[in-house]
Amino acid sequence: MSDNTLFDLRPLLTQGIDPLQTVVERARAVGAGGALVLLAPFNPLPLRRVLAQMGFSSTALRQGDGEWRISLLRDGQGRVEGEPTTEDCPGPTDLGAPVQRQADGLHIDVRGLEAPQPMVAILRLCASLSGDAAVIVHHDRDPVYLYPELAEIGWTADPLPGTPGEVRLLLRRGMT
Amino acid sequence: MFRDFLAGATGRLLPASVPFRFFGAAVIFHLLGWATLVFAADDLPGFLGGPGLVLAALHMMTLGVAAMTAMGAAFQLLPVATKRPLRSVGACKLAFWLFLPGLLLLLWGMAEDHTSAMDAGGSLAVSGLLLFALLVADNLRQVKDMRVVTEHVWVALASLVLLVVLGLVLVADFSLGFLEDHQGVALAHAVIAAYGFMGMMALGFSYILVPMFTLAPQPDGRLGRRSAWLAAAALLLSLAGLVHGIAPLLWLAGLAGLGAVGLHLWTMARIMKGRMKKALGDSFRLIRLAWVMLPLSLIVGLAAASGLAVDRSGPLFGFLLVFGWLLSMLTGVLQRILPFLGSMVSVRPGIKPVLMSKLIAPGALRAHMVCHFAALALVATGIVGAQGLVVRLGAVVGLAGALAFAGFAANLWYKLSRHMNPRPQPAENT
Repeated sequence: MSDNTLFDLRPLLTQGIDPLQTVVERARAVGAGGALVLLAPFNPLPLRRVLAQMGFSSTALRQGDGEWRISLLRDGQGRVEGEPTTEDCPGPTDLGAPVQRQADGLHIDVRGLEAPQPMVAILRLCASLSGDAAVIVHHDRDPVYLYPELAEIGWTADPLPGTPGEVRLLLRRGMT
Repeated sequence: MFRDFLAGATGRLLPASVPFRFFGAAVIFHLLGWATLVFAADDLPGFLGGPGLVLAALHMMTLGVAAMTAMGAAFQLLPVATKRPLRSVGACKLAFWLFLPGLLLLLWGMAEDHTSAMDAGGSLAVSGLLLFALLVADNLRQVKDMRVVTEHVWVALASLVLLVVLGLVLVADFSLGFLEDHQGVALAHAVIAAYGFMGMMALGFSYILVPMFTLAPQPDGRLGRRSAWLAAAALLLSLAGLVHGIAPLLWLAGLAGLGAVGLHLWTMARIMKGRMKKALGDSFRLIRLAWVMLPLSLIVGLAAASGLAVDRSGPLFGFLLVFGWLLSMLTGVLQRILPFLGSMVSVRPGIKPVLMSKLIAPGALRAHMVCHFAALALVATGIVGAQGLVVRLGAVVGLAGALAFAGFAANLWYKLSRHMNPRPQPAENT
């Protein structure tokens, strides 16, 4: 495997640089049937979804604490294997976005999804929940079209601090 | 809370006045279109083209309702979907102010058979449409994702350029008479306009709007993209077939069109099957009607192309295409988009957003839907039976439906204005 096919994202991330643009530029140079391997401190699902739209299928392998190896193949299929499932979480299992239960609520990560899937996934999750559930949304843009629909089903949105380039929202039912 | 957070978000939205001016104009042209058809009823059975009230009524629906709605929806939806702002809000407004007076002049020229008015109005309207096309193309130029939507819109924009060229040729031919087959070119213009420009816009935006309205998982985009390519092939074949008068090409175009529509409807059926919202209301009754009318218009068009009772199948084809497919689809979509936009723009610091459900007038929308279904049935029957009186009755019912629809829009505007500008509470003890 030549050096060009291996790209370690960790130095960039350590410097606080978003590696998305650099990776996309490298990926553009990969021809049909070509491969690319990324090393990252976490499983970069949003990045993998962006690359999937460029025709890359990817698998993620955890090699140790803080070390993930992402193997990408430009096969035109754009499969993102090993997406976190919504098992152990309430709501539909076919949201198309990973949902994880954490101490502060259900986290749904819709970054990298094409419109209108972020909005649809969030609303489908909210509509399936009962009681005083809280949903934390990880988004890559301000979802302006989501708010009228949220208001209609009695939910509100508050901004939370997020990582650079992320819009993070706390959604709650019945708060005014 | 919403009001605190959205105070910033509203600044990044296209000003509400931009899409609302297009949608408001569409609502008014909807009224004018049916009203004109009331007066043109006797001429509709057997209509095969040429200036007059029928031509004006058709263009009120295609340019006045369909193009206005497509422009408003594209300006509103694309920047959010593509994550890229439009290059200039002023240019969006200019497109409207070129298109509206141009269209009014063009319609008057068509109704009165006034060639100079058609020339001038057509040129102005075309300027507005081309400015719209440039803005949308500029926005889409660097978009790599959402290919199912963008490929439909690219075909729509290419169709727009074609229909503009054909339209200008037709208008020039009214005074110069250089075309050997004016009717063939007029039909090509109509097909490229209704199936190509407005139809491809409607089909493409359906891949965003239908999952959004129904809360359904995203369908496989590959089928939708194949549908777009097949539709593009059908449009090119129909253009060649109509301009050169080659019937086998028209048959091929019809079959390719039916294939494209089949793939689109199959994808829509998959979306509907997987939807979370079960009760979709009257808007989706209209959208479902449009999904029936689209392939039906193609089948009737094929019958007309094969020479089967052309004096009846020809006008019926045009009616099903414009009033059946486009008008049903667009009024169904407008029923959902107008309250949605109203709620979205109602967010102001210190004011709670108005709920979409508070902006809907269910009685008016039900009346519109019932009248629309009845009007389609009556006018189609009148065309087939060559009965001007039945067509007129259908047009009157359609006009009643359009009035109900205008009532819904006026009610929405009134409630939104009241919400945005609440009356000051009288001070106590005064």
